[in-house]
Amino acid sequence: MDISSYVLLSQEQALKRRMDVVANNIANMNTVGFKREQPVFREYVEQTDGAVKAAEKTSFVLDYGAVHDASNGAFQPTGNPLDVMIDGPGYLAVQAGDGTTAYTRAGYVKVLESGELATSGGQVILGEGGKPIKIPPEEAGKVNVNPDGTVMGENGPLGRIAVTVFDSEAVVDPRGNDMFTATGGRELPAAQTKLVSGGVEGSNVNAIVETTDMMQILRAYQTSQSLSNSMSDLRKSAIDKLGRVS
Amino acid sequence: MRTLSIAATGMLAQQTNVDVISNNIANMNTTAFKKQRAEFQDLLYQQVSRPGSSTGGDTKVPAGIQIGSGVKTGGVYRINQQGSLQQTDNPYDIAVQGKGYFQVTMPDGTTSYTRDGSFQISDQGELVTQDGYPVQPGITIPQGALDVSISKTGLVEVTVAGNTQPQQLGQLQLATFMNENGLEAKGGNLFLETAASGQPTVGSPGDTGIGTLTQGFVEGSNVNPVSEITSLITAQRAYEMNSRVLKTADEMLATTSQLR
Repeated sequence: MDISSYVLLSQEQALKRRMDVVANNIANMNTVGFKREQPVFREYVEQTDGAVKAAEKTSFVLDYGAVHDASNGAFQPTGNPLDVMIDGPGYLAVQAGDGTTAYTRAGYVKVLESGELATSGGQVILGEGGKPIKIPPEEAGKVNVNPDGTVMGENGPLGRIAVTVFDSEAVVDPRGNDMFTATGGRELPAAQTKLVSGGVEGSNVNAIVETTDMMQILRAYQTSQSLSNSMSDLRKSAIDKLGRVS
Repeated sequence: MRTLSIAATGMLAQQTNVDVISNNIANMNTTAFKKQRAEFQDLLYQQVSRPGSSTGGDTKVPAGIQIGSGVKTGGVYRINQQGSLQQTDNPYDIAVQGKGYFQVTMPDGTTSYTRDGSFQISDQGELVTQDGYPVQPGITIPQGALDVSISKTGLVEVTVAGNTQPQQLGQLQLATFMNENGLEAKGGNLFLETAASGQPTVGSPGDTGIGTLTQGFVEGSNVNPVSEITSLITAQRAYEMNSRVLKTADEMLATTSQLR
């Protein structure tokens, strides 16, 4: 059987997957701390014993994975002295609802009713050594964050916001709500921590790149469809000619 | 194809963004208005192939395939930055510099909180808000008062005709909250205490952690028109981009349906 249609089908599937990823990137263009995703494909080669040597191998395209682009987004000033952006790699560690540790780069920081520093979603931020940072009631609103992550109150430091880095970004998986899950991270020491306070990190989605990507996907998809149409014509005429009783 | 629904979530989110920005711009001249910002979060990711699953032999998928499903509005935050002070020369206009809210008694007896210090005097001589709600603790200005002065620390003094010595009327107090963002805005420049905001701590202006008062001024809104307009442009373009995605997805589906 002629497998060219299946090769095209595999490409169309891949293009649809790419389109889904591009759509998600564009939808999150204004999501703070969002990291652009990029799908990765690989070639799948099938060996057949064809009559012609060159036709022995057919390659399909297969989904392989999605990686996120860890480059920094632009700094967006918010005017809140507690908001932080991590300059360089790393994540803020937070206590997720189920007790596990999650990671985020969305640096909207607020003070909970209990006095603990938390993200905008209310997850407690874990400071140095996994300890939450507590702000005494009389110092709420008078707190600053130093570049090394130290939270300074009026009467001295109250704790340090820790940045956790991972040796490979591939272990960090997005799970929605600006959160990532990962294992095997290590805390950066104060000397290597670089935080910028007074703002948050914007998404690193580049509108131009995504739009051109989208155009490319659409055109490739149309090409593949028109190829498939010509293939159908070819098959039809073959049946017509071969089936004719002369 | 998920693209259609993903683009739809993007458009919805930008619509919320424009709603919030337009409310900020509409309240640009509202006394003590605090601007708000919509904050977005990515939605759940669908695991098409789990990272770490086997690809045959000893090899494992290092990254896995995860397809996001769009964006949602995570919350709308109030930015409690100090607004600029505007001189009014009205002796009953009081601006709060720093943290703190005036306490106001509502007609039903409950307490609301406000930073809008453009007060008036009722027919009873009581210090009331623009809507006529009395300020707590109550201050009553006697008849024949020549001059009312309110100090930075909230002490209200009055000079009465025929008396050279100023007379103390009372002490204004401010309430602070652990998490100001948790206060519930109920319109009319008033806020309500919620479980998220925590209990109010009442104290005199100038105490540790409490702002000071300035007589003859009101606090303007902290809306910055330039940053609002830039946000508006960003939101509009993001909306357009998402509708472009929708169109592309539609074209791809149209191509599919024309397949022979």
